[in-house]
Amino acid sequence: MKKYFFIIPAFFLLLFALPSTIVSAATSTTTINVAVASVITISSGGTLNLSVTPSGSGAQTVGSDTVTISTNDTAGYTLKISNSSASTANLISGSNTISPSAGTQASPTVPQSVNSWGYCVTGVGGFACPSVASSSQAISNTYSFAGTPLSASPNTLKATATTATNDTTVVWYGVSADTTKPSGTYTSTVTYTGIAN
Amino acid sequence: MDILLKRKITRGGFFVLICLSFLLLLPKVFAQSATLQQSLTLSPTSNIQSFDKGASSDGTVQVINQGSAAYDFSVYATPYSVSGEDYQQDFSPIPGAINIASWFNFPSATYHINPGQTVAVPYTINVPSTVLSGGYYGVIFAEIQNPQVVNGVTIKDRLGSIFYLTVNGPAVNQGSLLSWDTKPFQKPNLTGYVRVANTGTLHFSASVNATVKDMFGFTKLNFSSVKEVLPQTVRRIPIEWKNTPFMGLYKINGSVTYLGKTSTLGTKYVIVMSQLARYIIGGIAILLVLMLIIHEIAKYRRNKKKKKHGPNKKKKK
Repeated sequence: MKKYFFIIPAFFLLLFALPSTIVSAATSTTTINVAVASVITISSGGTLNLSVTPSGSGAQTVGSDTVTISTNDTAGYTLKISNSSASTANLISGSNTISPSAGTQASPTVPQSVNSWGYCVTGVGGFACPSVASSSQAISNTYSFAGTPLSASPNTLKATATTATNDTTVVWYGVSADTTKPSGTYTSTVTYTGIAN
Repeated sequence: MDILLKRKITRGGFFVLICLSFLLLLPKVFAQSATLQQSLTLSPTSNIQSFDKGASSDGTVQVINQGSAAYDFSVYATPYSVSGEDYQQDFSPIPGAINIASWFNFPSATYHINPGQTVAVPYTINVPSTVLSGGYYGVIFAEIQNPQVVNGVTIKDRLGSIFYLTVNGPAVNQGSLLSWDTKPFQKPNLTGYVRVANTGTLHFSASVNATVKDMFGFTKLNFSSVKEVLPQTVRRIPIEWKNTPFMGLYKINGSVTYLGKTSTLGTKYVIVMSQLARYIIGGIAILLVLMLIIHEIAKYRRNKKKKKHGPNKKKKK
């Protein structure tokens, strides 16, 4: 009788081993391929209201807009700025205009010319930008501005090497006016372009 | 009398409660209106397609509104070209070159999108049968159409999806790794550059992989970037470690894969030191030199004093 006792542990061994054998026999491998699409996102203020009360020697108002870009493209992204117009970068109020700053991104104008407007981005080109907004102050001898280029030739504000998450760029705008400038509501449109590298 | 007083108190309390509720709710309402934000998302960021001459293809780009404000947006195509090794992108037609913007057709030029919505913008690409084989490049832009502001600057955000199109036919796929450079002594961020040349007639992808390790052998950065190199251009591809620590000694190596071959980027050592770290180390160095000078002066004076008083002491003895 004793000689058959081995059957009990053998039975249990079989009981536990069998399912794993069956499972391993039934196992097959599946390769899962997931394609993650590349995306790029941009957001900014949408509008920037600048009001200036002119003075005899010229008063300056500065304000900022923040552009935020995210992309999962490993090529990184480029952010560009231009005026939306192909023909003029003036601030326009009927037949009256405020001209863009004569300075360029590489060599911006300082101090800002009276009756002009422009942009400034810290760390880009030769800019020296404000850090706080101000309204109708004496024209700063420190802040430098460049005119927005026409739509055909946008300026590059930033080019990154790889993916980016909520990467912000603060764009400062400055406008100056003296009392010779007719009152009115002057407008212009600026385009921020975000594109993968 | 007491009941009347109680009623007055209750009414007064109720009035105060309403006022408080208004005060508490008002900022929330203002905050909600203040945080209404436009957000434009475009996918994919680039598209690589091949065509036979005279063929056409339909596709879509996805425009997603992840913001809290609805808006209209326009779609249009432009040509795409680059200049310089840093690939300054240009979207203007080049005189004398084929403007592939005319190959793109959209059923509608403008769309409306609500918060949280995705709009699939369909397009058709028609490749002329008369075109030569080779690479052609364009961009589909999605641009927010904001109403003009009354006073100031209206901002328009736009995003581009680059199209790398190949028109099938005889083509030359040829390129090389020109150089791999990094300055041995840098300020943060740690940066290196790989220059890849395309000497063929078609674009190709260059996949750059790099690893940055510290002096103990710990991996600090695994960098990976895939970039298209256009025909007859040299592309300078940056390898950048964002938020590099202010000081350290690092080892960089990696590889570039293009046109089915892999080139190894030889190991380079870089010392990174921020301006502040340079000031601190410079200050410590100056301090040490000053201390050394002071010590030498004191030593000289002591010796001089010894020499001066030496004979007197002997005399006293």
